[in-house]
Amino acid sequence: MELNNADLGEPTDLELVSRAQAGEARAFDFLVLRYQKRLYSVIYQITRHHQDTEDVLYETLIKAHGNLKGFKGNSGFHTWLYRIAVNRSLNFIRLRKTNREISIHSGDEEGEGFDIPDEGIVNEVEQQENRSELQKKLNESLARLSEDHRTVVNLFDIQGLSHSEISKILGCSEGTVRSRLHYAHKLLQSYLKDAKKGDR
Amino acid sequence: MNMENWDSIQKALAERRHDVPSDQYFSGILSEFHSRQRNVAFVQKSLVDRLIESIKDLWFFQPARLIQGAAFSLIVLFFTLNGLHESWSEGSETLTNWYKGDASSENQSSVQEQFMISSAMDQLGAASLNRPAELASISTVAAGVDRTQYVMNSTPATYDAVVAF
Repeated sequence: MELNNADLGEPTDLELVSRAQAGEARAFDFLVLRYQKRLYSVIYQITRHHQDTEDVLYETLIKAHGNLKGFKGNSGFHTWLYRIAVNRSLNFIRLRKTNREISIHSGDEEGEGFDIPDEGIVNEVEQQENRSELQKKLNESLARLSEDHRTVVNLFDIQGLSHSEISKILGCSEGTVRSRLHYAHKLLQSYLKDAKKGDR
Repeated sequence: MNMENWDSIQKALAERRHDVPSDQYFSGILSEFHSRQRNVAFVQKSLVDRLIESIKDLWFFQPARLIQGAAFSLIVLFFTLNGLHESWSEGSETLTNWYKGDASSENQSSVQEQFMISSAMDQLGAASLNRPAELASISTVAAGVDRTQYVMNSTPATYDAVVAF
């Protein structure tokens, strides 16, 4: 079933949410179409793996649809949706990391197939020969950031969200977001400097 | 390229927003989402719910077939009850007549015929076993005994008991 904007007359997020809450399945489908790319991007920047991103994306959409009745409109719908996506992505990579550690401790050779997020990012860098030099260095530098710092960089610098929106998504104060962001930027610059020195 | 230039770094970061598959990939998102949604809903259902649903899916649980089945059952039940009622009425009437002694000549002749046949069978059996007709219907085989004694009208009667019937 193909949906287009004219079909629903470009309604706002809140209108679509109200209609979806009232049981109109097409309204939620329209929201999916509206946010699918942005959600994919947010999730991919955390998992750095397309198949994992796909799984988390569907999990996010199913979770959002299931909890739609609980959405009160206190924040924007996209903020609410991003929050679900970020939480699920972070849970996913934590679980992936735990599985990896368990595999290593138990001597399970098959476990070597798991991707540790940081290592995954480094491997990704190695695979992307056609990327610009700066992007490669950026990948390496982002991989060295902590989970919290990488998340704020993802939401602010990559996705272009405001401090206020990020604070709602992460459930922390705007001050904390600013602080994390400032520190993350400093670290990034420092890591990129190191990378430049290493090239010489 | 000056890596220390923060503007270029920010620009490079912003470019990463477009690290997404082609539009063709996203054209299948909705159908896949619906499919996964159904799977999740199915898994989340309790075992009892699934059992009830399985039973409902059986061929005879469809309304049309249920009505057909019920109609057929009623027809079978009607004929069965009707048959039982008729045989019961006939049986009780015969019995009543028998006790009253005014059985119809047809019934009387039928009973007499049965007695005659039974008697003839006894005679035949006795002749083949070489023993009195009155004993023909008695089983006389005993382990380790080659000769069996009968008493008939206070007179001992014997016959070779090697034949069992």
